[in-house]
Amino acid sequence: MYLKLAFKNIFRNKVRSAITLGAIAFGCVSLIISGGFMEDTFTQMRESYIRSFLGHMQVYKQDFYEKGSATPYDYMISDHELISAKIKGIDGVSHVTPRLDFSGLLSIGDTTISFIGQGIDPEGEAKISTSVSTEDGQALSAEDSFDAVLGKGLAKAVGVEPGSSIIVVTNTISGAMNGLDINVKGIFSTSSKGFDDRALRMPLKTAHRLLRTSDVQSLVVLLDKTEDTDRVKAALQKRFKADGDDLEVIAWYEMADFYNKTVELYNRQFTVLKLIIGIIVVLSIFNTMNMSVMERVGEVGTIMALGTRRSGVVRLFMMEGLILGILGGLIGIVSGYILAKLISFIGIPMPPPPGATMSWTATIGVVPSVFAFVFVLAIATSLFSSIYPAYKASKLEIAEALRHNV
Amino acid sequence: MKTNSEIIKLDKISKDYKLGKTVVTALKNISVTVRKGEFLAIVGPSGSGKSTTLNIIGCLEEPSSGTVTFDGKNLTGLSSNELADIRASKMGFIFQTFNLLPVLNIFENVEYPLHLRGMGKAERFERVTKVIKEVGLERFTKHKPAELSGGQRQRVAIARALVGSPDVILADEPTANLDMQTGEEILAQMKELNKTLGVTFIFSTHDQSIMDKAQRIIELRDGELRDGGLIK
Ligand SMILES: Nc1ncnc2c1ncn2[C@@H]1O[C@H](COP(=O)(O)OP(=O)(O)O)[C@@H](O)[C@H]1O
Ligand SMILES: [Mg+2]
Repeated sequence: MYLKLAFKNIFRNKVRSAITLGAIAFGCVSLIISGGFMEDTFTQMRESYIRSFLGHMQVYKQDFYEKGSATPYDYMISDHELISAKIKGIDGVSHVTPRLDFSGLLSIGDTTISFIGQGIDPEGEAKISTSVSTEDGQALSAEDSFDAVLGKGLAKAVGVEPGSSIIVVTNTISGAMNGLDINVKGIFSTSSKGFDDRALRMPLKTAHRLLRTSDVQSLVVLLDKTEDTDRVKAALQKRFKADGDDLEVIAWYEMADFYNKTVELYNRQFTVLKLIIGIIVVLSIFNTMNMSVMERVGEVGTIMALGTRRSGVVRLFMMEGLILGILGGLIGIVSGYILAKLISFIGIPMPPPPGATMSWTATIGVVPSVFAFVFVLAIATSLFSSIYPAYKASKLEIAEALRHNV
Repeated sequence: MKTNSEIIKLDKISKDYKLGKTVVTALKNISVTVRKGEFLAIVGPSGSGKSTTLNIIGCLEEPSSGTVTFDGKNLTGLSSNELADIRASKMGFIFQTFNLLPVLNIFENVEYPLHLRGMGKAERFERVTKVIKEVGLERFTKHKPAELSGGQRQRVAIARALVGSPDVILADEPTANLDMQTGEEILAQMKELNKTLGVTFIFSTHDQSIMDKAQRIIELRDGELRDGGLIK
């Protein structure tokens, strides 16, 4: 009965209820759009980092990730082909490729500059580094030996072009000096400007020759789906433990510091937005319910005189708030969905994120959890803001309230 | 039906209203006994305390002193829920301003008190249909109150008061917002229901001409009963 009465009461002042529903729906839409936009940004950023260089996870010698930066050559994986085969055997793994990181100096003419070097398997790396794009010249291929590709920023700093010849000097694993004449085959860029400013990549066999080793430092693992990261990581750890391999597995999110900080920052901003919108909804429903109680003092007196308990009055007004919340929430999620699809269809051109070089097109992710959250928020805030007006109505003096019926 | 047993007893009822520092005495030492099946009019000029008396009988207000006994039960100190349940199950109310719920249609308005008693749908339908017919409004069940004349609305209010077969129906100036002829018709209807169904009616009026219709009249002057309350 209260449900029916509450429904009818909502529709008695159509303009006011429409404005209230509009405010709730507007709040829902803004959260859906901003939440969906963030989610999409996170996903694109995450995939960009993963597919630029991180992979979904990397396998190192035990303790390398913690302690390896000072003495990286103490943590080498020697039987990397065997390990790679093991990793490929895990369900969900798409590719595995070895890397050997080192640092050195490169010279051309009078210019000498330090770089971060990476020995890679050109074929395997091509599959993992899908967001590494060749800006000029060509990418590395399997047949190359004394060739390298340089990051965009590094190439610019030393003024080299594809076809230039450079000298690369570094320490071997045992500490001696070694140098090679290298041909610049191409210039690449990734989504990380910091990486592009310092990186030089060469075939693994060339790096082996330069460092006088046949080991690698890391095995980069790419999965079919990012969602499988934790499952595959656990499976790998279990396998290595069983086989007595002294290896550690680091997932992308443990390495993607910038991504994590960005997500945290955005999430905090999103929380503020949720709060602001929550307050808008609370105020708008509070206002509506309060006005509706004030207008209906006489009516409240009547129903109480007829024998409605005070709790019944509370229930009636709470019900009205609840219905407003449900209706506003439904309108909000439906229009939010339509708007998200529309915006995604058009696409939002985005500038490169901080530290990156590539612009991208953002869309609005349709995230079920955001929709559910928004709907629950609409209902919860509506109920919350009806408490006081409902309580106030239930505390009216009956005889006094009846005098309002004129 | 035991028409001679007491249904309501007011014993030395007084009611004061505090307005800042001044105290307005609305009722002074009122004692009245109402028997089942009576058709009782409370008359008196405006401000004499008629509404206050009816509010106290209908447990809408508490007296400042004195006791109200309803159907043998002392109402003093009962909780607001207990009083609400007594009103819902034993009393019917008719107001000067009709007080129908504007969003509900006539059927739903009359049905409302039955919801409060948790009555099932079939019985509600049967009862509502019956009382609406009794007040002659069966053609208007789907109409909203705003589509009805004042007299028709007051008939709906009578039906609503009657639908739960209450022990007593309290009507505070039920004819004051109606023209003379309609007011008389409403009163005639109440009288008719009192006669045929034996429902106790207590109503107030400041219209002297209404007096003729009443079986018994008590008159208030400045919150006091005149001539010990028995005019007729
Ligand atoms: N809530 C109130 N506050 C102060 N005075 C009141 C209140 N209700 C009634 N009164 C006073 O009590 C007296 C009786 O009022 P009422 O019972 O309404 O008379 P009637 O219904 O006969 O016109 C009047 O003097 C009125 O001003
Ligand atoms: Mg009065």
